[in-house]
Amino acid sequence: MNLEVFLGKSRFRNPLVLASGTFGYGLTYTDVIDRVGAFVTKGITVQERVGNPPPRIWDTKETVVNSVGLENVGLKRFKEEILPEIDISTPLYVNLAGVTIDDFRILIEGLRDEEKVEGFELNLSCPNVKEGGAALGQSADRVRKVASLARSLTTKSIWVKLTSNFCDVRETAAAAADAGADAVVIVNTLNALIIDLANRKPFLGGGSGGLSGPAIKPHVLYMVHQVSKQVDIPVIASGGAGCGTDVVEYLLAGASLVQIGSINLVDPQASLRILKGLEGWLKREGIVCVSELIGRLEGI
Amino acid sequence: MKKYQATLLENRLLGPEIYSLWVKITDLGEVKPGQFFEFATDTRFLRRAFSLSDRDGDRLRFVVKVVGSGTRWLAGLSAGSKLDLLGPLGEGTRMPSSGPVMLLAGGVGAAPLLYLARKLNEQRVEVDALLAAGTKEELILAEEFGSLCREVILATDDGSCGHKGYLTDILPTLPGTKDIQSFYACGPEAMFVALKRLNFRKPVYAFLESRMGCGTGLCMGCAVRGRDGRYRRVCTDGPVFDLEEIEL
Ligand SMILES: Cc1cc2nc3c(=O)[nH]c(=O)nc-3n(C[C@H](O)[C@H](O)[C@H](O)COP(=O)(O)OP(=O)(O)OC[C@H]3O[C@@H](n4cnc5c(N)ncnc54)[C@H](O)[C@@H]3O)c2cc1C
Ligand SMILES: Cc1cc2nc3c(=O)[nH]c(=O)nc-3n(C[C@H](O)[C@H](O)[C@H](O)COP(=O)(O)O)c2cc1C
Repeated sequence: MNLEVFLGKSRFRNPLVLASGTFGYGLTYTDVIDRVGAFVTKGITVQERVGNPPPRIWDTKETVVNSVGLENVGLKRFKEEILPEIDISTPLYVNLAGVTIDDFRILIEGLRDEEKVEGFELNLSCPNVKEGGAALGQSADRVRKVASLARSLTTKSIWVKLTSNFCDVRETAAAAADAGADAVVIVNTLNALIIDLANRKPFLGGGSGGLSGPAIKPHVLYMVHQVSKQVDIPVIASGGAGCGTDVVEYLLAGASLVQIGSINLVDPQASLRILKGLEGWLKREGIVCVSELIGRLEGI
Repeated sequence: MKKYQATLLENRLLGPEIYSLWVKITDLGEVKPGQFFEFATDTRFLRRAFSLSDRDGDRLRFVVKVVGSGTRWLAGLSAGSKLDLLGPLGEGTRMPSSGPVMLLAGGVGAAPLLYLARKLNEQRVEVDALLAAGTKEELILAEEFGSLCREVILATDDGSCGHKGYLTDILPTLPGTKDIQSFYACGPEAMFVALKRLNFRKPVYAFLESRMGCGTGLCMGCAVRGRDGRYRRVCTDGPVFDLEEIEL
């Protein structure tokens, strides 16, 4: 059975990608990282960020709402303290969380010569930072600007992680493709508000948060399908995947890779279980090559 | 850290909305006081964290106070039920080199301190306990502490048992706390805030129970602010912190 997926010249041993913010910096559970297709770090900003005050997380059976607020060590410490410690055999993607377009220049220039870094995931979509990020991802124009800038600065892979909050993600994805991005990631968390009724105020310390988990999968499947019809660069799905057949569904809808996010918080080894589930399904269906499934949804 | 399939041996009401669960896990190594396990529930996506409260070989005791949907589900389980657990998690607490030490428990905060008392007892470190709760019914595990401690002092907010008043009002009035080398405290956040204000000259180690995401250090969901303004992860940097080192 062949689980390999190619995105252009980049090879992935299987279609699973550990999603940004749900697997730390890649310093722990490396046995899991070494079994998936790619690993994406927590979002890195130019300056260190302490993040939002607690509470930062809330859940129901099928949803997680987080407002971590991009707590991260910042570019300098990431380069000096974290990167040298990362020891994985899986392609490493650094999630870059710029607030302004110039931030992306600083971040890419700071990391483009690092051999360990396979590529960048431009986070144009984080809903937990008031100053920007998501705002950049909401306009096709700005997406084009950031992606073009990134393309001009590096030959490493560029994934553009988009949002479906307050915008048409088909247009922003097309802009990223025009600008030369290698792939688009559909999508980051959906805007969410949790109310502390007794006190008549937001429950989360950051005010609002980002919705993820199994509940968003039908929405994201739809978006992945729509975007994959629109653009001719690969689409990477991110939203609620929790088992092997979720991965199959995303591939059928048009995704080339599938990110595994919130479920890592329930079990750091979830990806291994999902991989097993995927292999089992392929075997039962007699499918030899996982990449045969990509975009093969019928009757729509 | 490992994932365990555990069997619930006994689930018994300890006090109002407070349950004592004995769980069987095989092949479990050493667990440090302050370490915790993450329980999967049927009603919530994320696991729920509970400190180890006592241990007898492969039988582990947890004390669960019902505060929401996940804990309500756990409280409703009967013996024989299967449980999906991740653990042991967290750094746990450093053991004191010398005693006597004093345990300060607010309500269900008594749970992790009982396991600490047992370990201190094994190491022949003298230990006292001050157990406080809202009412007599909410004072839990007093007998168990009694068998492990040099002295157990009880207090209730309403005076229905022991001293009347908050733990932090009673503590300064107690004779014989002068020889105490260190304090270990677990309770509601307000208790930690009040303890901080008491300004002990001795170290106070706080067992925090902040709302948690993964419990494994991956998501930065459980944050407590350190004195330097940076957040610490309660799960992997704690859950036990020197009270001096954190801001509440
Ligand atoms: C390391 C650690 C050890 C712990 N050890 C123990 C232990 O030994 N025993 C024990 O009983 N507990 C312990 N806890 C606490 C326990 O994990 C929590 O009580 C449990 O996770 C609650 O889960 P739940 O689903 O029942 O509650 P949830 O439904 O998640 O609710 C939790 C709290 O949040 C509040 N809340 C939720 N949503 C809102 C909203 N919209 N507005 C306002 N308030 C809201 C609820 O009212 C409730 O007070 C520990 C926690 C940690 C981190
Ligand atoms: C706790 C948490 C932190 C996250 N942090 C980031 C981040 O730093 N950068 C980013 O691009 N996405 C971040 N995300 C979004 C995830 O990478 C993922 O896109 C999203 O959660 C949807 O997928 P899921 O439903 O599988 O979790 C975070 C999600 C969670 C739950």
